[in-house]
Amino acid sequence: MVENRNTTESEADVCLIVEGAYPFVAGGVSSWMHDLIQAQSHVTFHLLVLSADDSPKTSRFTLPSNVIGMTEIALQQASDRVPIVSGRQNIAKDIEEPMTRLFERGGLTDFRQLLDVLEKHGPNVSRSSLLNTEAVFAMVERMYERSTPGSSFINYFWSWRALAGGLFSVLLAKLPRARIYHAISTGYAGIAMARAVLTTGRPGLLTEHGIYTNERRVEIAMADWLSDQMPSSLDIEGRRRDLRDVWIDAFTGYARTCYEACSRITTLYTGNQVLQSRDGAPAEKLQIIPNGVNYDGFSKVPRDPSPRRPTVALIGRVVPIKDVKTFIRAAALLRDMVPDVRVLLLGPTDEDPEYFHECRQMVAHLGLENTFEFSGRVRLQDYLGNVDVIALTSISEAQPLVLLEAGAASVPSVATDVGSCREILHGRTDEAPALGPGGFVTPLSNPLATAKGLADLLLDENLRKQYGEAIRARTEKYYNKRVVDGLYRDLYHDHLEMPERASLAVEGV
Amino acid sequence: MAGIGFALRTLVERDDLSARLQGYGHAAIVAAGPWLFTVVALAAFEAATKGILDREALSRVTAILIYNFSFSLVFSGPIVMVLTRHLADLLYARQAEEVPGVLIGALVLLWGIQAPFGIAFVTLVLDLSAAESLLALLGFLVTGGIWLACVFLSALKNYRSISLAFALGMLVAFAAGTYLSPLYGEAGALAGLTLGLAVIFYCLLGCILAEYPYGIRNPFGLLPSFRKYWDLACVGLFYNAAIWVDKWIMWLSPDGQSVAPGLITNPSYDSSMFLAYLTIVPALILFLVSIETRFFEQYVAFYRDIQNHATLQKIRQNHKLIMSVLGEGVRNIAIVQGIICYMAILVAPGLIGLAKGGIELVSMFRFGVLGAFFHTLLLFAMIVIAYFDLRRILLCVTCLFFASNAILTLAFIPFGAPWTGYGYFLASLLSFAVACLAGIWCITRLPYMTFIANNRGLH
Repeated sequence: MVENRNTTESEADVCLIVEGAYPFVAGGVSSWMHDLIQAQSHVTFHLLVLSADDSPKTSRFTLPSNVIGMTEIALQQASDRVPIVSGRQNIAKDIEEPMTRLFERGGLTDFRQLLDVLEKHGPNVSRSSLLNTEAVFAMVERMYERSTPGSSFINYFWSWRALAGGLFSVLLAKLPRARIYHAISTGYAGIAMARAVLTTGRPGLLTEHGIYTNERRVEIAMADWLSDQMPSSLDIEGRRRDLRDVWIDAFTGYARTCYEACSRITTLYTGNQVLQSRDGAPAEKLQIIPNGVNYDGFSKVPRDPSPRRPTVALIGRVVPIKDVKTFIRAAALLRDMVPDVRVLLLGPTDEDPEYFHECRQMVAHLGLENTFEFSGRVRLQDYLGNVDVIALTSISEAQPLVLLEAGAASVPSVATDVGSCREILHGRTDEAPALGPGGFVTPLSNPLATAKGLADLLLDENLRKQYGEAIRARTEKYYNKRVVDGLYRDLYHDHLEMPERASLAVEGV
Repeated sequence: MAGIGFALRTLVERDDLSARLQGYGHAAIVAAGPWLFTVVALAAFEAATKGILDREALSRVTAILIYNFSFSLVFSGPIVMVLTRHLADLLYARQAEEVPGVLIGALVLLWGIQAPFGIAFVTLVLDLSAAESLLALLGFLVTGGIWLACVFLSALKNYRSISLAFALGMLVAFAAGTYLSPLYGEAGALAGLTLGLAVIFYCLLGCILAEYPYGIRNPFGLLPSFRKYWDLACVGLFYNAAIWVDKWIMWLSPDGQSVAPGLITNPSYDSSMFLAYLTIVPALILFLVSIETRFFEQYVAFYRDIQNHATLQKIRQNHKLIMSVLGEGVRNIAIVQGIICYMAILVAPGLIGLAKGGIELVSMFRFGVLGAFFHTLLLFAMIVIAYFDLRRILLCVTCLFFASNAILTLAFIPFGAPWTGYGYFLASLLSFAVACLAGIWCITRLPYMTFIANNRGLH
């Protein structure tokens, strides 16, 4: 059953709802949460952690002292044995309508109806009665007939069980009491938040780093088993609806529910907001809160005035997503434009040994031994004073902190047009007063554009200083950790003070 | 952030279908074979030794033979059932090299259980000469070994070898019995029989080891399967006990005869029942033929199509086909067997007269024929239930058959000869009705049973 590890029963200020990350998985989002909790030390937190299954996990973080409780919910749980003669079939009839609509990109109305049904059937509703009765199976058959009648039934069945199983786990679990429910993604975390908002009347917040639905889209597109073996050549109408659509529609339904239930939707940069709007996020709830960097620390890194070779650095791991090969090609071009240039790669090389090997071969092949250096994992502060321009050639990023950390030290950048790079280097459209460019934005996988941008900045000291000052000012004003912490403090403050909304009173219902 | 990756990973399709096919494909033979062999062997023995042994000696040896068959079947039942599944699992997992080890392990286990009971019975209860005791005991063990070995051969689908082995063994028993009985009397007859059984056993062993020429490894790999398939073990025990429990009770009834100290039988009941069993042969053949062909095809198509990503529409269509094939099969068997049953009842007096039985055997035989009719249908229903892996239902049905056969047989003893055999008839009728209803109940819900109720991938 649901593992419910309540370390305390008292009401927290904020219940952070997270799916498959903090504190059991290390990574960007987890570190961000850890920082957030520490920065808001005046607020008490309860963690609601959604895990894939109920296997025991070990925490990767020491929880700060203002975390006063933690509840874990396993999304997929092994079923109890099914009695061959199963009672309580009528609940299936009641959930069918809202379930069907929710899975077809439905929203809060359907979700609320689902909650009402569960409420009506009282505390005896079990996962088994929602997943394993004959009436439920008949419902699954009808939902299949409605959505993808020409596709593999066994795949639909397993997909439905995974999607609905996670949903029911969240709906049946005991939620901790809190004054704000803050989900760190849509998906099941968003569903848990929507449920808490509807049942407690307390406000919900959503912070999306990556766009959950979009990440699922990518994952689903790559899941081979979801593709149908049916001959596609028979389709004149183009791609027939298949199981991928079932998954995506369900996750879109979950995301809509979450967007509609919460009071504020924050994300790191404008690009994400386009995706959020497409999945139904109301424009008036959207807000950008970027990740902050330690501006005070990095702005104190002194420039090294001693004479040295013009220096460029890419700060990042040697992995394909950073497209180090484009950077190496750009270095070869740059050597012809800027004599005696020095090109550094600052970052660990051990993550993808094969890729690293290819990169080294490339360096040798291009005769860059005297230009290009793999410096390995370094302390950025030690190097930053000797670097003139930062390069970033990634094919995918969210909000790359290196541009900002270097920016705090007045080092301009040349970056590909991914994630929030354009926003960081050129400023958001609503930036007032406009601070001017802090570097160049280049197309993806374009060594010439990267090399040209780097050369322009290396060869023109005035331009470099001007851009360096612009990025420093922008970092100080918008990306300073103190500023960002303040944004969250205000966000929490506003919502902690909100009066209780009447439970289940949802706009437009 | 962890997403549906987990879901995608854990959705591996489970496939124990092939193991199941292997396991139950020939259940009819495994279940009915020993049953018929017992009858045939007894008849052949009587024919062979008629005029050589005196009446009393004959009935003593017959009784020993019946005891051997009866109790070895009950002792081996649980092991045979579990072994059938275990073997199918092994072959499915391509671990054929473990087969000889499993064979040895199973034999050691079976004999380890049989021997203490056999020795105790022979020495403490019976009063036979040393030679007879030894031969009776050997026959008991060897018969058990034969039932066990048959499992391996039906897994091989090597029916020619099985038939040849049995034919050869019977021939040896016949020849040796005829030769030895005049010389050594009862002991000679027993020796001939035991030799014949031993020949069957060694031929079967030879076939198995020729097919799986591997060393012995992991001989007790079978034991964990007892925990996994404990329900099947119980099915094996109860079913075989159910077949014999009416006879045991009739032996102990006032009509039972003590042919030797400790050796009680009921010759009239036994022989009328054994004769009645022979009437099931046509139904058995019919069942084997229709199982091997149409039902089997539909059954495989149903599961294979599901695994090969059939649409729900296709699954429902396959489901309908299975039901119609089953319905047709049941109808055909019921008609054919019904006619045979009816004729057997009509000609009962003549048949009994031919077999030189008393007039009181006629009603017993008639009930026996009716009982065997429903017993056969029960067996078929059970096999179909086993195909769909509904082990709990199987267990309930076998328990019911055992209990009802025991209680009803006991209940009709006071009514005397005219009602003898009525209990067996009622018990098989009742058990068949229950098995049939349970089977229909499940099979009409086959998609639900397959995906949820009986889907071991979920639990």
